[in-house]
Amino acid sequence: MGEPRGETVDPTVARRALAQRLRAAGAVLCERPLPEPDPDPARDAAVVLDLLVRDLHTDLTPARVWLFYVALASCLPTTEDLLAVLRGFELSAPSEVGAWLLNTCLSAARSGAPTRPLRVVTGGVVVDVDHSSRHELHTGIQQVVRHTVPLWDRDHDVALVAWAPGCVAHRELGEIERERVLRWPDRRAYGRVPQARETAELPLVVPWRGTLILAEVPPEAASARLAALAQYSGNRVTAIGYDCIPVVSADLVPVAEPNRFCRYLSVIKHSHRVAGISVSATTEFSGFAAALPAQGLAGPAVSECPLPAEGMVAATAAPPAPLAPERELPTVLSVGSFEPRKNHLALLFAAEYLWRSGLAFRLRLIGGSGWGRELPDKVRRLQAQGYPLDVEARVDGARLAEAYRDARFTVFPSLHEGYGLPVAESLAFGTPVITSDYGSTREIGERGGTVLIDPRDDVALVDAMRTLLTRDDRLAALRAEIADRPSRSWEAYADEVWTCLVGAGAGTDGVESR
Amino acid sequence: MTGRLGGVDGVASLGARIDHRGACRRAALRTLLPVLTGRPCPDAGAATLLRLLEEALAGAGPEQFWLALAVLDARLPDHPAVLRAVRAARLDGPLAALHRPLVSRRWGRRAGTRWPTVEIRTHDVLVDVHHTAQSSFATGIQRVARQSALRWTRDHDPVLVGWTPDYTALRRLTEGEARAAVHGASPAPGEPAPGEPVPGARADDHVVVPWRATYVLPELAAEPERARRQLAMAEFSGSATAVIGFDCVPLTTAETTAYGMSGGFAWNLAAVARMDRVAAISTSAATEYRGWRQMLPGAGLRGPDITPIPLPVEADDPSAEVLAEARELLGSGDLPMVLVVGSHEPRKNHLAVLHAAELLWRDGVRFTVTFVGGNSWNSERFFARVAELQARRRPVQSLSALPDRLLWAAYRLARCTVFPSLNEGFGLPVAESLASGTPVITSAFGSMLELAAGGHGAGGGALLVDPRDDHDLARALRRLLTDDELHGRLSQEAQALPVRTWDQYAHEAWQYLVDGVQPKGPDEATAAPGGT
Repeated sequence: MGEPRGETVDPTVARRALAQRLRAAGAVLCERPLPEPDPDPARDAAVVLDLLVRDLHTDLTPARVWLFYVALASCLPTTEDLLAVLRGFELSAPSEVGAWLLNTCLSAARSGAPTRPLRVVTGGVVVDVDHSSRHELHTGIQQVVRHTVPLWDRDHDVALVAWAPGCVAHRELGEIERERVLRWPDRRAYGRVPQARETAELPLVVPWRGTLILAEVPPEAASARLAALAQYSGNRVTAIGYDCIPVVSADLVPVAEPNRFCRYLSVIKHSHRVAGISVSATTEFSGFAAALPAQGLAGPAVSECPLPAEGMVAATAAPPAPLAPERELPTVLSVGSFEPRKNHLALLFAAEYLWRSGLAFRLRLIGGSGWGRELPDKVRRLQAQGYPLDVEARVDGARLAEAYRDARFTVFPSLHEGYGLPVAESLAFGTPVITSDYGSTREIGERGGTVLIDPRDDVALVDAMRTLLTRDDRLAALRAEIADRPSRSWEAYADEVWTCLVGAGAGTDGVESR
Repeated sequence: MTGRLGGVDGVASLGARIDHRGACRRAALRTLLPVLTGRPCPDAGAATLLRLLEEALAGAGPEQFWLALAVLDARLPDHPAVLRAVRAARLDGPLAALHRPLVSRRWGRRAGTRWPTVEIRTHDVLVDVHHTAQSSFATGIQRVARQSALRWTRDHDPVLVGWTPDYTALRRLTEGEARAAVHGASPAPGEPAPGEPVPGARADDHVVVPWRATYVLPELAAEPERARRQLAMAEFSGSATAVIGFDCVPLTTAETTAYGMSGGFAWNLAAVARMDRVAAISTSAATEYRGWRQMLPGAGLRGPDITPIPLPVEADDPSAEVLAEARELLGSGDLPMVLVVGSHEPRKNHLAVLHAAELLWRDGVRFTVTFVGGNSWNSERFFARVAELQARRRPVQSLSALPDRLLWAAYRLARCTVFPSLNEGFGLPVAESLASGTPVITSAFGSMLELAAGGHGAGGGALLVDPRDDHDLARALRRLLTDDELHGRLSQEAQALPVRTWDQYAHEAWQYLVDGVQPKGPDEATAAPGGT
């Protein structure tokens, strides 16, 4: 899979692009300046290729061959691709290697992006924001990216990239895509789905003696090429580490998830630094790193850069609403996708138990994109029995804010989180939370405003909900705690992560060895 | 709280329904009740038994419901099923929670099956050798399971168990399966050939439920369905649960495994996270498991105790005839032979061996290279490269398999072996080569380093290399091929390494996995649900 099928590659464009890419690589790989361009792109490419091959032969390092491969093949090599070329190079004389390489790499180019030029970002910082730039989804990871990357873009020189079709290499972002990352609240292209042809001519981008930041979990199809980049290109690869849920809690995720995630870990193991979004996420990535000496690898240095809980909804937060008037049922809110990991069944049990014991309250579930049959069946049964249970899916930010403000308290008894965004959001709206007493929800929760319970203990959940439903004094005390919580800004987070992933020297000082 | 089935009428009619369906359903209740109540079960009709069940489970926690579901349903429940039952019991009483298995039509004349008998095993040691019993094929893992089971059944009295075909219930192995599990390769007359399923393996009319017993898994269970049941069993059966841990390659080196391995393995880890002990087959495998265990607190899990119990290797001593046969077959002539044992998946790094060999051949060093190992995931590049080199008349050959006796002879005949793997739980070819007194070139980390260090520092018959550096590998190969003094010294070192036997291994593993951890005693009741 390369560029969209059915569109034949214009050979003239491809020849011109090849000559340009080889010159871009030659500019950083060749010792001597390149000759003046030949007006015929094919001849120009041949001349530069010959120079490159001779220069590489005198200094055959994996990093140099890696960049050369990208220029020639218009895609990033996998480890196997790169080693095959490296070994072939070594076994061939300079006079014969050119033809062999053209053969090998141009057949690779059939799956690459042969009409695109190449931009080599030397000594700088390239940030992979593929998903946030190309999709309108705005859940956990995208929120972090759209809060953080604009601050990096304001304060530093960064190249934002997405993946070219087929995940063969990074490319520049189109204007709409840049807006989606950098100006999310006031983007013009709200809801607009990008067309492949709008970005078909954007140049490929590779870092050289610089840093590639994985601000998201990159697409699975990119992982083999990314792993080779991390291992061989001489660039530093660093990442924001969100969680390792799919491999720690396989029992709580769809069975395809661990397969995908382990491919991501094969990139992480060759990476240089990971900034965990919570103590819990940091512990997961450092545990993975601790397993790596068994295969002779040091693994990434993992540090903790906790997200700013209070900043999650700063733009739309308003003072807490007064407690619900008597005539209305108090509302208990739970926000989270409808999947077993979020432990909705425990919540529904507790609610049913309390309803039957005579307590009057409304339970509102807000979520979406779920899986599993048991929850929807249970919801339908309770609704049919007349219990006040609302379910809302795919709500917008304004509705979500309203729901947080209206709630007497929220419940988030998740079994495993990398962060626990709904806890942070609820606290940002001044609404107390019942949540899990371990991991990242505990980290957010123990600074006040929450009741921490064992999410595997239904009885504890029942007790906590009963207390907050019946005791106004307890609820008021929690609200007071929320007001006293220390706050942290996105500015502070963005600076801290930048320092962790790039270094104080702002990514202009070349490769740092591990 | 009086639920829908708590009333007198409910119990009476449910009892009548059960009585109507024959003795088998009652038999399950009669199996369950003495264990739940600690008292003998009266000879009475189903309604009486149901009332006793209701009484026994009043206020009971997930452990009792796990047992009740396992016995009444004749399959081990998964975690959500147990929670569902506990919640239903708290809302509507125990009989409502168990209503579905009590009236199940899964078994009986209608379903065309016999009611399975259910046997609760308390305090016994159950050894799960499901795969090992299914074939006489011997992967590294099955060799370990088989050698251990052989000695454990000789020295102790464990119950060998496997799974029903749908991986929902444990069952005793048939005699034929038990023989295959323990002895492997030699089926009795009339029994299937190696690799064929064993007849009787589908017998699921007699299931085993471990309750406050000891469950030991000496093989890898990477089937999600099997792991789902193991997970709930480890959490709720009150049993001591322990596994042999081979490696975490599908987690830590997923790029070198077939797609889909990682998902099954992650399920295995989810079950192991609830178990008591992991006997890792090397210090390096323990490093992997301990790294994984560090990842657990965010899920509110503690994880098992992990201890390395290194595998042994007992070398064969080939006769002169076998050596001659091997010499003929391998055809190295007067040239020194470099032996490479292992399947050709990318993790084994055989393309690096071919590259290093070609660099030396071009330099005029004379030797042959023999690969012994099966076709494997993603080995096309390897075979293509071998074909290219053979076309250029390089003395390289690839044999898919050798009988054990010839393999041991090949180890003896080789000048050296090469095993530059990128990640191994153990590294059997390294151990076998050293046990044969043949020097080995292997990776300078992990289990391969451990084996080469031989328990007392570096220099145990091996040259250690960076397997990610072809030139380092080529340098080591050149030295071993051209430096007779070095070769002699390494051979002597290999011969002097201490021998570790399967008896020692099996003894240590039993001590750790079985004697080291106790199941819950009869007095240790699960926490009663208080408050509500």
